[in-house]
Amino acid sequence: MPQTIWHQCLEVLRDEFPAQQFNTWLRPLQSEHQDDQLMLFAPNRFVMDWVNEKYLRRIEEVLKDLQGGQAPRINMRVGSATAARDMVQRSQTANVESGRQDDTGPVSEEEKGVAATVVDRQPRREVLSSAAASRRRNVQVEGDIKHQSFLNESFTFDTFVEGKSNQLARAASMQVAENPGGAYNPLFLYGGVGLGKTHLMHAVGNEIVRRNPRAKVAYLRSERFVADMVKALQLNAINEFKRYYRSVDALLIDDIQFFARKERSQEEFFHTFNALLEGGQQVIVTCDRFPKEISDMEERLKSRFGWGLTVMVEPPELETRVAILMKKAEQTNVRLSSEAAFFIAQKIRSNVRELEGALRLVIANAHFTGQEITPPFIRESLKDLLALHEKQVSIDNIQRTVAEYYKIKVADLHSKRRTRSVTRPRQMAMSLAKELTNHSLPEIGDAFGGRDHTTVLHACKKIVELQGTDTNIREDYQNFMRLLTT
Amino acid sequence: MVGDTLGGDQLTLGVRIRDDATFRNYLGERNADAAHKLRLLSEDSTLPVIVVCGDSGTGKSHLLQAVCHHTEALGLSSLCLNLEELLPLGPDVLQGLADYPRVCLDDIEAVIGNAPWEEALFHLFNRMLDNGHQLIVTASQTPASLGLGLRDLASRLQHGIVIQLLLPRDDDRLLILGSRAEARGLDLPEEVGRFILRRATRHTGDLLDILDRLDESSLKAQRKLTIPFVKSVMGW
Repeated sequence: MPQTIWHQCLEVLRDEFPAQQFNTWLRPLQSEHQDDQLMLFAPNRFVMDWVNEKYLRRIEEVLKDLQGGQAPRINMRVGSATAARDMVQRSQTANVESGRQDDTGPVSEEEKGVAATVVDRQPRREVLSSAAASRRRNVQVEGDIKHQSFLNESFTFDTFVEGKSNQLARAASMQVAENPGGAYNPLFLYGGVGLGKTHLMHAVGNEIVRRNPRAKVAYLRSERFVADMVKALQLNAINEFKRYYRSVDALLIDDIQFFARKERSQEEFFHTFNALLEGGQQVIVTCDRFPKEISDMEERLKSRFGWGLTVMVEPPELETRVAILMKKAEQTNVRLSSEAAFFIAQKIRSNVRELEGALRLVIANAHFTGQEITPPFIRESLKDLLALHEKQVSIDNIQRTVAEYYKIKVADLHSKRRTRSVTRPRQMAMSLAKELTNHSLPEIGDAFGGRDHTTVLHACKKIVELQGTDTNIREDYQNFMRLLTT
Repeated sequence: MVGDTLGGDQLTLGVRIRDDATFRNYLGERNADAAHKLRLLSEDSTLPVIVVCGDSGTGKSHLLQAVCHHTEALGLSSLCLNLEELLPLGPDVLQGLADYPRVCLDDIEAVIGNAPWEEALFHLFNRMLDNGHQLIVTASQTPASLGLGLRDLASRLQHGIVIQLLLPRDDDRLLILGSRAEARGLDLPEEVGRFILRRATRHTGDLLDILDRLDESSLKAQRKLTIPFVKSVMGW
């Protein structure tokens, strides 16, 4: 059976189901033909269950029609076709069933969720092989421990912009990099989002490796630690897991706050943490808050976080923000004047990530329009980012704004009065309502004292016409657009 | 099953024209630049996240599907999911999605304030970042104004590029109506289109629903679309 049978089937289904349903549930399925069966791979077990329940019968019917009455056997699985191909090769060498020791403490619902992808209906050997093929971090649960650092090489001390806000954190991090497992163990870096904690953490890891290329440094987010642990428990490979994490020279765990409510992970991390500290291996942890303030975390763990050095990273001050922008622009080979950098840094004050996002947006717009990056260009580019975007406004709001602007009453806009001092603002308000809302013209007419939709049309035409001949009206219109949409 | 899905009030002939949403049929001058920018940026694998924001009726969902078609045409697999539709399934539904080079999530507002969902999105973002993949989400507001409970997630969305869509103008709406009518094999004279715009709500989705209704009525009654016919069907 050629693989195109599935594509033919998809073509039929595409015509039968609404695009939304098709794109959500059917299009993502990947197929693989093995022997006399058609294996369909769903990205996760929910998609698999949903397809099984809602679409499988129809899929079978279509395939039967396409095959002239002989329906192939369908085997639904979680994973990908690529992984399945690898699985066939790996299943011969994987020896996962024997020699595993168990340590199956209670795992919370949150922890189960983290590793949901391995909980499917496949036999265990295949689960592991499939997971092994699709995950880079499979090594620690397979017995063949290979250290993968997952360090981002671009995050170094050289690329870190130092300022008053992060001076102490940088200095402490450098100390740790020079003397891992020394006095500052653990190093606990905390602060708000997007301030460079992760950058510093990677910088330490990279520096340790630069000084000692044989050093085993492992960086991972706390969620990955949880996922690996749950997977190891499910595969009876918890001892491999422990051995892996306790064998590194430096363990760098990012965003530790996501251990909250994951009791089993906290327990495991607690023991790993103790083992590493006793062995003189370095631990670095980042968090969005001070250790004592972490909720749903065991007290003994919070207390241990404070044993070494706890340093806060603060939001960068203006000069640092300017320096960060200049550095980022330089890294992307973009010419950014200090005036332009200063302008962005003044507008974006909260964190470095947002600052970089702003710069990215400005650069993209400059690239698309071919314009130079100047403060007016930046202002226009950042309009969206600063939430100065066009919002859907109500007719009430338009009427209030217009009445206030022209110093008349809202009731005048609803009234039958036809003096110039009232008709022009009314026409202006109607025109704005048409431009800025989705209301129908009859609805707009109704909102202005029950006028006919033709009156609204006339008003809109009039305002367009006047904008071409009367500078005051043009200016008023622009003012209203600015007032109502920012 | 198919009949159930398509709803009860349909033509006897059970064929419904497929409305593939592509960049080519995303019409209207007002958002043309934004759509062009999205198409190019969706090819940039170094960009971890794009947020497409705009009010209801600006074509956000259309553009997400267009990104998926475009991505597939480039030989990469992609996935387009509506978060409101996924909500009853729980956040674990996002597991494994980071393996797709492009994941498009429509209507992020559906999960705002829902801590487990926000956290699951945060982890999805991180995994996609690790894999060098791209996440594209739609929202009615910019990330800073969304009111996400998880600051880590808000901050990561702010790290990407925001593309703002504006409400279409009437000429754009007319173009969209005309194009959809043409795809249906329906003759929609301009004056009839303008008449609809003068009488109906001007929300794009509602306008297209009206066109569907007129299409069915016109076929059943074997009548052309004229202003009197539209008036009689719509009760205007």
